[in-house]
Amino acid sequence: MVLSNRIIALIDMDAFFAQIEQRHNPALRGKPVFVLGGPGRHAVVTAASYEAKRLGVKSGMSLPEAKTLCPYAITVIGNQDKYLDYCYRLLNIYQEFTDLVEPYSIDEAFLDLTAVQRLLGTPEQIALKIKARIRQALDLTCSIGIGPNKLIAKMAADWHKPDGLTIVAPQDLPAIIWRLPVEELIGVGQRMKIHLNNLGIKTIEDLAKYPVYQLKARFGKYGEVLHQFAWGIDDSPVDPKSFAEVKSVGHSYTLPKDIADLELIRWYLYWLSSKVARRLQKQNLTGRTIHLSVRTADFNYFGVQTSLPESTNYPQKIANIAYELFVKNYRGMSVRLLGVSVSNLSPQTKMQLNLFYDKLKMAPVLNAIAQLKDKYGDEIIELATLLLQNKKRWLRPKVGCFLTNREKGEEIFKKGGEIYVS
Amino acid sequence: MNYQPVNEPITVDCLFKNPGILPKAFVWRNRAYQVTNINGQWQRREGKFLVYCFAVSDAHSNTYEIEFNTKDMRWRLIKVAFE
Repeated sequence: MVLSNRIIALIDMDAFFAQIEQRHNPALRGKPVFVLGGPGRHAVVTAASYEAKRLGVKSGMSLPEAKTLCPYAITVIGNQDKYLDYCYRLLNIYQEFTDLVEPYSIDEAFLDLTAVQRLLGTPEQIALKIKARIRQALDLTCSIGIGPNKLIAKMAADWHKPDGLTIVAPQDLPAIIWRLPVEELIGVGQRMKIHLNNLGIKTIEDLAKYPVYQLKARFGKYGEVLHQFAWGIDDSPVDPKSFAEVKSVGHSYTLPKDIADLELIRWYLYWLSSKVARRLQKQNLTGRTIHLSVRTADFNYFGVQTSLPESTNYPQKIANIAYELFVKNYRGMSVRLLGVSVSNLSPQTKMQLNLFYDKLKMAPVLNAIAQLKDKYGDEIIELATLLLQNKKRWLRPKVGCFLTNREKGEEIFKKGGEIYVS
Repeated sequence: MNYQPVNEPITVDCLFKNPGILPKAFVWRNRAYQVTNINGQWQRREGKFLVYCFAVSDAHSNTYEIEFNTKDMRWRLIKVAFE
């Protein structure tokens, strides 16, 4: 085991989305609550309150599956703006304790408490102060794991929930983590668990004592990383800027119902691509690799990607490539989920101009669209391609591309009309 | 528990208290509702404009989501939750 003088905390908000909804509506308190990603038959539980979790409901379950376990749960459609605002307020609270705060997800953050112990007290005292501050400011509870590194802190935060506090000293690591099943280790998912089980590795201790060269031969560099994790080794620093380093930008969407209509699939790919492009443009990024992920109605998953000779952040181009990828791999099955992401990112200033692509002509148009969205919000203007399916009414109508008169656009929509822009 | 989307303009009696806004009562469809508790508040952006959102309750324990949009300086009732 590696002895470390570092004190790292992972703060994990308890059933974050569900807890916020319970605070905002007192009638939900003490009751099982499902927060859904969206409406429709394919709704997914993005968060469940602890009252529902006690009955076996987990995040990511489909609504029918969750309802089987907890039929009387109250469903609430989630509100990302609300949760993000709380996330920012939580990060501000953490900053009151240390400047070394690394957001890990919307409801988790690492704090390096090593340097603030002399000022704020023992790790336990600091953790209790943070809990009290969050409760006082936002009336929310959290679970905190404290360990010598991020890996142990993250694992420890899961051991006592809700409103828990777990402190793991470096010398206690073998006794505590080695007896756990291997899938409890960070970085071991369901597939890796099967691979490791096939090698006779059932516990974290088995993994720690497995010859590292064999793991490396089987899983490459990742095998070595897992072996280090099993020994409780993780030297990664708490990096406040790590969240800002974007490696890929993507959006996925579980469709309201299974679809096999290519025109509709193309529409959804355009819709997702326009969201991806918008985020890329906002961050002044372009990307060369476009990835399409698809989950079919029978829950099979496939992901395909292609790299372009030049980077892009144009919605049409991303959508066209994603659609080409889809058509190449389409075997007539119904689709349940679609996702588009762009990686291999670089700053927009480094974009290579292409003489054969109409980039110079499109650039001012896209720039104008971006300015309109910056000023009036993302709903103000949209690609005309996204209008063609408005009769399906599965999604809220969008106001048309290049229509500067929003009211006129909405009026046309209300009449069920279509707008084509050349 | 039922959630009813509304999205209608309302008139709000509020206190601007540093820091923040405290809705005290609102009128929706010619009926007045007294805000007995502000359960939570958050902000969202609509382009460059800030929208202040509130989850409030009345004396009958009904919960309302109301918001103040700085773009048009108007209040709206977004949804109602009632048992």
